[in-house]
Amino acid sequence: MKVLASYGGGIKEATLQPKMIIILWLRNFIFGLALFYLFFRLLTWTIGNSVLADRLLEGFDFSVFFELLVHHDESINLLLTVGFVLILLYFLVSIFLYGGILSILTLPPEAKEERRRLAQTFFQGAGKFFGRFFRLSIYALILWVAFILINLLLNSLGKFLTGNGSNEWIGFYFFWIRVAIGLFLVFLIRMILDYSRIEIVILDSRAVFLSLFKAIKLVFQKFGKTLALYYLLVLTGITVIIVFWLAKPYLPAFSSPWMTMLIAFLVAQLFIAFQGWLKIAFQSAQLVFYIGLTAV
Amino acid sequence: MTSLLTFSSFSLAGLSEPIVDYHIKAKLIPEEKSVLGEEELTWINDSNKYISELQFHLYLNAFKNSRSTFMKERGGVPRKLRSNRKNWGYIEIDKIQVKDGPDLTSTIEYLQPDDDNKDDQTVAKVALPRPVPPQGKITLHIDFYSKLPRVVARAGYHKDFYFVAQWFPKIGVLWKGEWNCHQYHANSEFFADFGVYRVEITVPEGFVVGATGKRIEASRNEDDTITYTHFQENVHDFAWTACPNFVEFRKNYSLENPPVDTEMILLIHRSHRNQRQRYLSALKNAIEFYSQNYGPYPYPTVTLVDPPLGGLGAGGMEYPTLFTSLAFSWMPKGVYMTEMVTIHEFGHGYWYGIIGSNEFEEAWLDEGINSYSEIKAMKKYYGEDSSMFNIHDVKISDLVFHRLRIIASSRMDPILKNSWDYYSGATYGINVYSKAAFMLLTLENYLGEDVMSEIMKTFYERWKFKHPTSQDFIALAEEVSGRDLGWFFDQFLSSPDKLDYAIGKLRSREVKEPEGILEGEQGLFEETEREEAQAQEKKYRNEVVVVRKGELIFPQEILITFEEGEEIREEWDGKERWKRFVYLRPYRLKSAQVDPDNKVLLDNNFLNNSRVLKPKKISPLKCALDLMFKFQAFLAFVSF
Repeated sequence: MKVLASYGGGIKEATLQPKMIIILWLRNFIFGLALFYLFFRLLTWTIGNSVLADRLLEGFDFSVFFELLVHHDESINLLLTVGFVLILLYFLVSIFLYGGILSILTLPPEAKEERRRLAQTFFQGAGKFFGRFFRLSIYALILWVAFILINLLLNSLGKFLTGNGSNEWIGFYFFWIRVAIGLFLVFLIRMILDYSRIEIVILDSRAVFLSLFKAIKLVFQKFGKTLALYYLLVLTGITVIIVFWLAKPYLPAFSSPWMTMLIAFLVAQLFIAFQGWLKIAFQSAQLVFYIGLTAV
Repeated sequence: MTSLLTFSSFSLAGLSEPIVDYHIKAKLIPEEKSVLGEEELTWINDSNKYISELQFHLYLNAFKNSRSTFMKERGGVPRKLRSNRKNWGYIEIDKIQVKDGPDLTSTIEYLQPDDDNKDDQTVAKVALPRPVPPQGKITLHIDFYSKLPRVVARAGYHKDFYFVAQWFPKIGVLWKGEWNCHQYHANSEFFADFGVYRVEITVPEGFVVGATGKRIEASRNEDDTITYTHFQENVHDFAWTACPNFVEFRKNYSLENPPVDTEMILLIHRSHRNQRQRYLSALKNAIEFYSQNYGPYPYPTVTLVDPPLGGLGAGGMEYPTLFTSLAFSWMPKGVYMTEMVTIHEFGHGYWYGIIGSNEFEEAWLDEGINSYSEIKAMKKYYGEDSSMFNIHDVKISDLVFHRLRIIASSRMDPILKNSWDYYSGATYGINVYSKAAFMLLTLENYLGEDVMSEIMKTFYERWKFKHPTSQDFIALAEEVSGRDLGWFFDQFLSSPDKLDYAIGKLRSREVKEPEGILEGEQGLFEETEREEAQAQEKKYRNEVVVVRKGELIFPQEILITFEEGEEIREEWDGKERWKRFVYLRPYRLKSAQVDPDNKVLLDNNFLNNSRVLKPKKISPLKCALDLMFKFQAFLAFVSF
């Protein structure tokens, strides 16, 4: 199966799924909104009555931030705790949505009835695979433990190479090499988990651990191709991030700060929606690749 | 010996009466990580008492074992020392005798004047066969061996880098008729008498050497070593460094007004060569700032030492005419840590070096005044908002860093206290560095920049080489400003409490006409007349209550702003717990602000210094939306 064809197929399929993009965006938006509300209330309560609030309009101000941090540490702690809980909940919701997305993406062309009742199919799939995907997340801890061990090993290697930190340049470059290796491993684990989930959905398998093992085998057997496909998608994401970053200074400024904020907010949400699209493209492209492999 | 270079002798115009005169011969033994030394010390009894014992600092003994006061105070032995028996440091006096007189070695006795820790050997005394009379002098000959520790604090070695400080038997200060000779503490720095140092340093060939004072001679020896002779008057300590991986840069610096002519010597570790320019530029700024604001730099040299990464324990430390800073070869330009440390450590050359206050008992006179000077210098050369960090849109000032330390601190200690008596190293640092600096900045804003400038210049000029105390500084500040400042220093130097004024209440109510049946000048009011009067002119009772939340008192200025643009500035002595201001106006007030010009930098909470009548929504909204988007992007990245 060709990598580029899988990539193209994934992009096309993701583009054809606006409802799923909206679901993913909505998931993200709701969680963001929860934190926004809390932070907004905190700021209004702590600094909204002060003339210092005006300084927040000019950008991030460390002196105000430090005052907040010290004098309202309990509120900041609460905010961090809520943020942490939200992240955990977000993971659970994401595990739930995986099943729905893959159920839709794996629908055969002849399943017209299921395609007509898309929402029902989506949530049925989400419910059906939630337990299995949750177990998969637990089993995946093995991979994450391995990730931590490799990092500890790299840490020791770094100390050895740099003479316990006394060679600055080696230390500096090694730090960035470690970041690159770390990212590579994170992407690798995510890729394995993606193929594992695809396997579970396509085969309707309950053997979750076996699917994880088979996914690892698949990834390493087709290492170049699976990697190439994954990094094509990563590159797509990075390109769009760069475009957003470059375009940011050119956003129109209005005399009304409310209008400027509204435009910035809409652009930000567009960016988040794009992330949803990209996530679907990841699943879809790897699915196409997987099907191509198993068909052969 | 073959002479390599010889300078003619010079004099520093005899700025201080020398109490001590050291002539030391030191030889570095790299294989043993040690220094073998011979010292000839002449000491003058400057008191009006007969002195029958002499006290000495033997500071390398702080690194001798886990029982020293230094180790106990710092909460344990650093791993670097513990890992190998050879890593410990100590100093042994092999012989001490009166020149051409009796041997005193057998009379050596360790003292623990600060904490009675019998295991501490950082102070010793010797008994004299005959007392030294007032204004009499005594010359001693001392043979000593200094084993350097792995560098963990201020002095020691790392591989082939040697930083040799607190390394020779240094006589204590006979102050107010008593020996003032404190032990080596984890927090405290040092105190010694001014005098003359002539030190011959012998190192193997290939080592680059830097030391206190001017190099007056360099000669090659037959055993493949080189002896460098350094000489300096009007200093109270001597430190040196040696490393084959130093690269030496020398550059003359002169200033017309005030007249300064000195040589900048940079000993930069080979791995940091790319940081050379920022070091030299910061040093130049430092000399200029201190010379222009306090007094011309008086010495013929200043040596800046850049330690290697493993030797950073010696980084950021000052000695007369020589100091260490720190840098990383990869450090971005917008991070001004090297600049800040360079300016700060150079500044010590003034307060610790030239003023020479007692750092054990009144550390703020050095650290606090120096941090105050550092904040001002950093602001001048690297920007008001960006003097510590300036990369893209992220800007942080040196001032903000110091402020964070102060406002986050507990109320455990005041600024003025024995350095070893602080609750912790952190409270020592916060009080004697940051809080003392902010005390002086607040005083500057209170008295005015010109008056403060005059105080600092006069303090430097009058007290250089004289060991002033806090009382001397206060008396001088009062004299120059012409104001009673006792209330200020009594509070801020001696109290651990905080200063915090706030706008407690802000209210604006429409004034209603009295209701009911009322007797007026023109008889009974008619209901209709009252309504007409109200419609013609609405009035508001605008009320501002300012409260003192902290224990410390400071006069306050309050700015009250009204909707129509009117502004009123009020003054309050700040003594009571609260003060109410009431204004009847045909319009509402908009905001009230304590200390509107941000002069009282010691105020502990800037968030409560102001209040607006209508809470602001837009800025919290913008900030919260920014956070929301960052959180959303994070979630999008970490999940599928």
